Amino acid sequence: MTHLFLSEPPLRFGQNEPPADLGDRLQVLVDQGRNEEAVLLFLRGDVGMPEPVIEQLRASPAFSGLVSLAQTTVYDNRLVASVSMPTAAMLEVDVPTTLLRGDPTVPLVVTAVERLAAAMPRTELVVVPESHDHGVDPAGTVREVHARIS
Amino acid sequence: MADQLIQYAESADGTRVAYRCFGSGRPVVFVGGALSTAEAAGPLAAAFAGAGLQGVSYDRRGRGDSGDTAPYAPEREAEDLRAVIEAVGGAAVVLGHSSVRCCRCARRLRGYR
Repeated sequence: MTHLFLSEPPLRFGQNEPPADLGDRLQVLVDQGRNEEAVLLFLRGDVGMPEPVIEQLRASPAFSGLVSLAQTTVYDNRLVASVSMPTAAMLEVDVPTTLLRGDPTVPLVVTAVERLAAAMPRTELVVVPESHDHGVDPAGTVREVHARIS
Repeated sequence: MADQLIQYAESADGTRVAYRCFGSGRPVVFVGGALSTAEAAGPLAAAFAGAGLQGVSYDRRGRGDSGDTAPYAPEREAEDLRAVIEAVGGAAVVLGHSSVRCCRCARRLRGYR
């Protein structure tokens, strides 16, 4: 890996953690075939996505595809729960690293990238104005990545 | 968008990892966040191709055309990413979205150029 770009990493730094049983509750819903409820619980409880954005997502044709991925919300819950605080090893990563976030975006992410930028040496924080609400705008993101790799 | 050829890498635990390459040039491997698929990342990977790079998107385990092997562990995700990087020749730029996995992976992949 020659350069690492971290876009909107959802690190909580030990604050405002979702309930410890959220992963188990998600799994129960999935086991019961209540996939849409699991996805909504994940978006609200784990991602902290604003309600208006959730409603837009729900109304979009992409939503049914997300519902089919309900089992993976448990995986992501476990994954994010395992890394709330960046470890010393992570902060010492010696690959050139750039932090990206959109504007506006999820408050958790705004805080996370600021804290990571402060904690990781030689790391640049870049705001991609075209990306909104935890989305990744292709043109804006490619522009920022391309400009930083030789 | 034209159908993209799906290719497969094998992760350390034998799980099949499906990935797609757009364009040619220096590879940029995109790691999606929750509820993401390689297909959904198509426009982003294609945008990298338009910039003269090779956009690479993959299905994280449990999604799309990738397999899944119980029990799940975050470490498997790092191995999946490594398998994709190896498949596209190594020396890849990694772009992880909403992805703490990349923080964890960075140390493991550090010695791997």
